[in-house]
Amino acid sequence: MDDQTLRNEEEALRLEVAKLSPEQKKQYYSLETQRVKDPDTYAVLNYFFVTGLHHFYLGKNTQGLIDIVVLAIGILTIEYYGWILIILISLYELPQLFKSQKILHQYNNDVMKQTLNEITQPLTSEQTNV
Amino acid sequence: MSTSYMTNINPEHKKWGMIIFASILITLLLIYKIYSYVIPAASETIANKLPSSVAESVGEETLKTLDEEQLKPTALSEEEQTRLQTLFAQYIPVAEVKKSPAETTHSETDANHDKIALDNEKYSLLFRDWPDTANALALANGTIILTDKMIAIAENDQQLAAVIFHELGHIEHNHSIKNLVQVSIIALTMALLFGDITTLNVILIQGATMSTSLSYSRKAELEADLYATQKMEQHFGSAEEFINVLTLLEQDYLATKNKQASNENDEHTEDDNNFSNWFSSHPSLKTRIAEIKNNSQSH
Repeated sequence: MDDQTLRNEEEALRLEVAKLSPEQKKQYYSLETQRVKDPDTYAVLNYFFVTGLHHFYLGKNTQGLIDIVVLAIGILTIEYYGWILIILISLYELPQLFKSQKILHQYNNDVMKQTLNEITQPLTSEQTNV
Repeated sequence: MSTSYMTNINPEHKKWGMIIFASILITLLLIYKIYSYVIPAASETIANKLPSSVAESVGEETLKTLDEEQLKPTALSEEEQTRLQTLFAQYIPVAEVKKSPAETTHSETDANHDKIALDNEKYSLLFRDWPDTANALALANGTIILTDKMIAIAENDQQLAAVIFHELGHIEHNHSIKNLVQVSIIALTMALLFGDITTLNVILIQGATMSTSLSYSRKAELEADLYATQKMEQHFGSAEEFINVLTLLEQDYLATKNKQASNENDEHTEDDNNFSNWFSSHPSLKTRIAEIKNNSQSH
């Protein structure tokens, strides 16, 4: 998705939030504050440590684990062409560094969507029954 | 830490604790590998690819600086200098040149090699007086400098030969240029990491480069010792005199250090602060002798 599409998506979600009741808005913003992530933190975690911390930051545990394992193998075997693994994993992660703003915008939009769904989800029959 | 605390930890915090621990471990491992393998390997590759004019320049400038700031003309007699030069000429490494098939005569085997002496201009031996200092220096351009006190301390020619071989080891392994490249790589990396050169960063960079440089220097010294041990075995059948001259030099080093420490003059002269001896950046004598004995076939 390009930047404009992401901004339009965010705008649409904000309009949905504006339609919530005061009680629901309070609940929504409380959850959103806890869940949204900071793009600069993501970028720093990517830049300083190629150990997949930026993936863990977004909850992508498998990807983060792959990063750590590949890097560890590359470092341990650096004398035997392990440096190729390190270069490859760094090159793979580099585009993420440059696209960190877009990645986080997408992530935060998804968080907003999910939070809105939770807030506006109709009560189940168990919840309505006394 | 009680087990109840451990079991009560938020699973999310536990997960992040493990992730951060793993990341720190890997980062430390990476730093160690960069220090122990990447920088030396990169320095060696770069140093070997630099043109010889770089070594020439560096050597000439170093000699010029030393002559201006530290060294004085030698007090050795002309006869003694000539005698030592003749001795030195015997120890210059020779190169093996393989003859082309067209030049190989019927009387020579396929594996025959022709030995020729390297161009004598690559190696030169100079003598200087460095007051109260027994030292030998190998410059990047193949110049070896022996101080008058070093020559005085050596009890025989074999001991002087050992010192010369040690310095030749530095030249053969291109240690001067490698060290220059290593220091440059470390300084550049630190500058890139920290982003800008403020006073604190300059101090940190200098500290890091100096400490790693000393560590690499000690490795270089052991390499030069190995070269000298092999050459002593080749020329004299034993590296015993190498061990003997190291012992004599350490005794002189300690004596001079004690003399300076007991000096009652409160004014610190520049010479006091710049005390420089063959031993200041070398591994301990015990370590060196152990390595020499280890590498020597006659022990």
